Amino acid sequence: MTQGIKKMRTDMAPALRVILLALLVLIIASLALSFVQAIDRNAGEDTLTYTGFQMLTGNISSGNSKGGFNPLLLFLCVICVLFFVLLITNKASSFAVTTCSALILFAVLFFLFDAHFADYREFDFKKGSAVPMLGWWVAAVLSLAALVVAIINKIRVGRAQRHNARMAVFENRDLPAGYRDPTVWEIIKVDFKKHWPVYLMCLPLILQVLFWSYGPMYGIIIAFNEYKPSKGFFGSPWVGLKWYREFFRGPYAWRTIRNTLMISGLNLVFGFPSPIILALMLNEIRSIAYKRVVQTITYIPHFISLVVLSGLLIDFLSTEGVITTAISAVTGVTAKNYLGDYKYFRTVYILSDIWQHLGWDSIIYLSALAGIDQELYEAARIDGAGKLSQTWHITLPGIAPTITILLILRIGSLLSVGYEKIILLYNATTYETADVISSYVYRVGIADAQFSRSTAINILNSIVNFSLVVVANKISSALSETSLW
Amino acid sequence: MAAIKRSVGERVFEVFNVLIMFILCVVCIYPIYYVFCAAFSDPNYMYGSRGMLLWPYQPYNTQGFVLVFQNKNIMRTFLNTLIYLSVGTFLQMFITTLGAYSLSRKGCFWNGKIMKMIAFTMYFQGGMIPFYLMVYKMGLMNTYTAIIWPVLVSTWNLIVLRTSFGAVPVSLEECARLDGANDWTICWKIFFPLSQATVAVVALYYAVYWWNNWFNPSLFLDDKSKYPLQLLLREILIKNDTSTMTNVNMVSQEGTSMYRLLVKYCVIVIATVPILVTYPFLQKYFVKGVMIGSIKG
Repeated sequence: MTQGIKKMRTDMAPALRVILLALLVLIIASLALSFVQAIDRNAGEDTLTYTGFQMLTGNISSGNSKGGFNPLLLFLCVICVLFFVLLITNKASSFAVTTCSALILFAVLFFLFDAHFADYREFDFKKGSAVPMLGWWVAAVLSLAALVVAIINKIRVGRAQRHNARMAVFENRDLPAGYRDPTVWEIIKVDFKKHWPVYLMCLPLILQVLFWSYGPMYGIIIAFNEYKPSKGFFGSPWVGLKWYREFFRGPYAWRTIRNTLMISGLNLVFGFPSPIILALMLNEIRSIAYKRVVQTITYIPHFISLVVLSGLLIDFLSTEGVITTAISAVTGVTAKNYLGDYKYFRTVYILSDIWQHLGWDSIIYLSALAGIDQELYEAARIDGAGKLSQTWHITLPGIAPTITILLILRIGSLLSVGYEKIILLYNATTYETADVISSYVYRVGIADAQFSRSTAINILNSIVNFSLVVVANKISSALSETSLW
Repeated sequence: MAAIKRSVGERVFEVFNVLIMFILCVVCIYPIYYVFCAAFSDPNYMYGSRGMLLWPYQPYNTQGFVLVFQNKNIMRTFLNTLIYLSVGTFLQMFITTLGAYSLSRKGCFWNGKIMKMIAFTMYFQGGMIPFYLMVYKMGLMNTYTAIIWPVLVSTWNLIVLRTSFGAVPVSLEECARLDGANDWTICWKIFFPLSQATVAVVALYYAVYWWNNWFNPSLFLDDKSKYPLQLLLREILIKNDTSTMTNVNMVSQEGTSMYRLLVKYCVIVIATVPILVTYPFLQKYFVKGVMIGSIKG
């Protein structure tokens, strides 16, 4: 009995495997078919202005065709390939299978949904391309089946695990006569009777979170329609993925994505190591009093509010500002307003960020440094290790777990650049380098009141962000066994 | 133990290190010092040339502060910030403490699930526009409620407090229960005082949030009489709009831009001083807060 359960836990159910393989073949076939058909028909008549491949890459020549670069298709292809590798290497855990089938289902349904509203001609029944369309529908049904089987499998395994645990309690003897597992409902009832005051105390919190964190989520629906305040969230006309397509084909996608990646990437490259370096240097200072003074002073900028900081920057970097004057005095460059020139925006942003958080961020490393066993240094010194090799072989490995955790957190927020600061600092002349995804969302949504477009882009941002956290965490737990959860 | 002989290289490094730290301190503190100097300087000089300042231009001038303190709008925003800060922090602490207590209970069937549900919101949210529309549709625009109510729970602070409550010895709770205490009493009479340090940290984080808060008010408030301080600062410092300071305009045209500059610096000083004054007393709590956050992180 137990052996059978163990086997079930490691292996996928055979039915699931068959479904998944069929699913993969179907999706790939539909993709291939839609390309071939499109290309074929393109050669024959001129009903089609672009091919499936062009649709995938966004290389579209015709003016009024409604297709465009479809990130969803690309995403689907990547997932399929990953999934295929998983199946072939026989390493699919039940979690991976559930996630992948859910993702595929999601992507396929979305694609169909989009195709319906976007009027992709490849997928139009009337134009004689029913085969790929049908393929997509079957793929949707199959991935749903895979998901259901995976979930059932998971429940069964969980049940078996609980059963095993109980058997262990009774030391594998026969269960007492008349023994019956409590049902979930019974557990809930007993639990509630015992803990109702606790749940009552939790109620304000739960209501608050449900209302203000989950409440706005239903507004996400406006990302897929053309929201008109008079018609409400659900009454507005549906447009599918129109906003995404427009975003990716418009001039702002490239600019905002590039700026986001540049600003947060550069901020990571320069801003992340600097507190570590500061902590290492502070650690080498012998006078405790001096060290404390330095710490206290370097923390101060952290307490300046963003608005004041931005006000200071705008004043100091203006044509007559103190920093501009100083730069001109030292280098002889003519004074100018540095925040009015898009070339300097990133530099200003990153340097001021480092200035503000350098001291504060070093606290955590200093405490990690304090936790390192001093005898290690003693031993290293006796063995003749210099300062540098002590740092390299003792200090850095000692604070490595702290660094990893903070790095994961940092990577997770890679796309959520501090837009408040950007909104405060940028102006029309610096949009070229300053406009990031979230500031664009703010401008489109609040200033231009294009609610739907803004919401759509925002969702894209949070999905990418969320996957970045997950990926960073997975990589880290695989490499160093340090992870967030 | 006898001092270990240090090599020349190490000595050079040490001197270098001390020097760099000194420069860093100067860099960190000078901008703030500059603003203080500028706020007390004679505006005629400040307007003419703004070079490096080591000391305020003579004669000392407190005209800017007089202007600011005479201004009803600025005083009003101070009062507003105090209202937001006190009411907001109080409600936040109430909900967070109760939530953290109940979620730190062991053996409750729903706790893990509730925690997951709350943690999810750290990573995924509805976004700015749906949030904005929700506030709008509820008719909360231009109210104090719109600023305070939606942000009453910070997931991060909740987790910090929960972790600290989880570290309170179980035996204390059992004793209290034997003496007939219920959950409410245990929460406020045992857990709350025992985790005082963390409670202070969380309260401080909330208070700092309110002090720095400008973004949500900028979305939801049109009525200037409800502005918090930071939002007014934004008008003055970023948008360069001193129309709120109507009685500055009493001086001549040239004087206006001169005083505008002076008022800018004075406002910065006034907005920063409360933090700088309280900061040395609160520093240890803040530092502790970073540590507590890191345990979970």
